[in-house]
Amino acid sequence: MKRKLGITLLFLCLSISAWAGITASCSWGYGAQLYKAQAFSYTPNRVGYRVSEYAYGFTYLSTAYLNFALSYEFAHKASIGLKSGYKGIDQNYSIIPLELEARYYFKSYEESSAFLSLEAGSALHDLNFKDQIILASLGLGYREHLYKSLSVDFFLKLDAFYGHPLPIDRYEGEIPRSQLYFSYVSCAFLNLGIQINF
Amino acid sequence: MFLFMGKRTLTVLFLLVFPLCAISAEERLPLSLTRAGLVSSFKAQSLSILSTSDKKENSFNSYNLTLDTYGLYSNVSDYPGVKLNIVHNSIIDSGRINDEIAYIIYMGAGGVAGYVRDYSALPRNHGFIFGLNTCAGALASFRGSRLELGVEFDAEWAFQIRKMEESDGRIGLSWYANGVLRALIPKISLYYRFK
Repeated sequence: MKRKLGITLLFLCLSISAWAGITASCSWGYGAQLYKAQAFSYTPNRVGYRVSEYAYGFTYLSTAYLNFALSYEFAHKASIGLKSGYKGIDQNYSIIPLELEARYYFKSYEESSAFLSLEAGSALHDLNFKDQIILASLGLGYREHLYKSLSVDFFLKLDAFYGHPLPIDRYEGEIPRSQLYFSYVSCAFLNLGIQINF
Repeated sequence: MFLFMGKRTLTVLFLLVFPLCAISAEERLPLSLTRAGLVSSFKAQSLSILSTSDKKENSFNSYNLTLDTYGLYSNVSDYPGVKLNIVHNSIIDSGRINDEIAYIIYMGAGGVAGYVRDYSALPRNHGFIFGLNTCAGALASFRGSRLELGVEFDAEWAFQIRKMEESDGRIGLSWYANGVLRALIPKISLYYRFK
């Protein structure tokens, strides 16, 4: 299912990229989870219990991501685009992000230039929005122009994740939402990546 | 040993050995580092160096230090495998698409050695591999940029020696199946050209 979705998305990107002003791109990279804060409270099936946990602090967890994007470039220095793909957040927790990305190029997007990027959006987990995920990102990168619309971007991004995932109980596994009082998780990532624009 | 030699003996020895050193250094010189970059794919991420030799035209060597990501995305493995691939490539076709894009198509063979995890129904642990490596790819260069973009496929025909954790830690020798099973996963290469 995921593979079919990916291939369809790729072909869609490539066919739409034939339109003037619209660029399709594929990006991937390494993400390091550097900070995590979580708070949750729930009643497990064991009678007489209420489990609550609060934890925050610096962590180090390696993650990876792959994204496809369609962006509209305008005014020689700016672009705005839609992005989706697959991204790892935590152990056994990955999302399908749906983000809006705005970029500002210091010279122009038609030549080699540094750029600033801002991203914001939501994400699907297990193909639903029940975790109410919010994503935001601030990045700095460099575009190396190769030929016509073909270019390669290198970037460094600071990503933020906020959501309400289901907590995992030590004895009972994933707790259903009906037994949950609250669950908050926020993480910060440092991402290093490459993007090829067609 | 040199402490017991006279000054004259040392001078003679130096004069005899130095020209040999100089010649070997000079012979090594034509083998120059021409490109360095990143080869990226779903199966592995590599740091790569390409060097050419003036003695053999239409050929180059590639040296890849690879992080094997098998089992990493699915949380089967906690840490990546490491491989070193050294391949001698022959350029089988080269030319220009237009004034701005030049390309080469190459095929090569070499060796691979490393410490990686292999495909299996059982969650097998890491083991040492050694064997042969074959690859085929294309690389395009663009006018006005030192960055080159390419695509590559590679297969590893190797054996794995592994301390089998599932059978009381006995040493086992097996065929490295991942090397062939994952051969058709494309690798995207990005190289920086030094000259």
